[in-house]
Amino acid sequence: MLETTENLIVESLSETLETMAFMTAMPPEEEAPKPTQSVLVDIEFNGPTSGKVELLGGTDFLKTLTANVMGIDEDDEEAQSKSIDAFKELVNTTCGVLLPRLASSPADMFDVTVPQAHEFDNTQGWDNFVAQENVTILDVDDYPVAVRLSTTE
Amino acid sequence: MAYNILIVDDSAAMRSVIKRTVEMSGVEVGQYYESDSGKTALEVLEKEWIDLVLADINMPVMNGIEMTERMAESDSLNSIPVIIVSTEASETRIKQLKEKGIKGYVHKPFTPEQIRNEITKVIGVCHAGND
Repeated sequence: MLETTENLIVESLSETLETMAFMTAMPPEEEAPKPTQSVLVDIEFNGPTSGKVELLGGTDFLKTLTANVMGIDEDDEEAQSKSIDAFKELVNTTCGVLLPRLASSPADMFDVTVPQAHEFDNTQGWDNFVAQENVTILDVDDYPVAVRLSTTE
Repeated sequence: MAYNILIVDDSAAMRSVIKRTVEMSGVEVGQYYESDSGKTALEVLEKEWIDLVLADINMPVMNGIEMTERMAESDSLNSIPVIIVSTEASETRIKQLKEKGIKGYVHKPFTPEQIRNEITKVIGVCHAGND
């Protein structure tokens, strides 16, 4: 069950990144340097299954993500100013891709919360998050991104 | 014929994504308008000529469902088609939305082809610039 839900969230995130941002998520070949500044976004869902999806990425990743989803240059001011907004949209859309896969029927309905963001300005935020259970670290176009799905039946 | 499209989403990044995807789809657009809630969208709709609304569901102040209901009650707005662009995937909820008057539905994340197909279905004719 644990392995299944981990696969589901990784598949959902990979599909969302590819469609929305033209970015590829792969298992990391070697340990990437952990980001010194990072942002955690989370979204909770309630329905036949309830739980939370969390994504953690460095600010450099967020800038590239934002430039890709908005079709702008990474040096554009908006790639910085709208980066948390874009990261929230990534967790929101990933959750939207995930929920039908968690549902037992296409008719199942879920309520989802508004995505929340938490900023960390040192590596402690990254260390604390990845030390938890059920965290998968992916290599997304050479940036480390951590994802976690926790569920309660 | 080019269509004026109103994009309604509380995420500025997502409004940019939708606009970019519509542009990539080849749909001929006259002018884009943007709103961050159903409430400001209704204000734009009262002032501007809009041919099609692309709206999210979950937004602060006024969500996409209430916006659609208000449009349905207005003689001047009830003929403007609304396509919902959302992460919502429940068949039950999509059926409820269609009963409330939405004309189309696109699930996030979406491709230019999916957007184009839904706009073509709703408006009837689609002028593609890259055919």
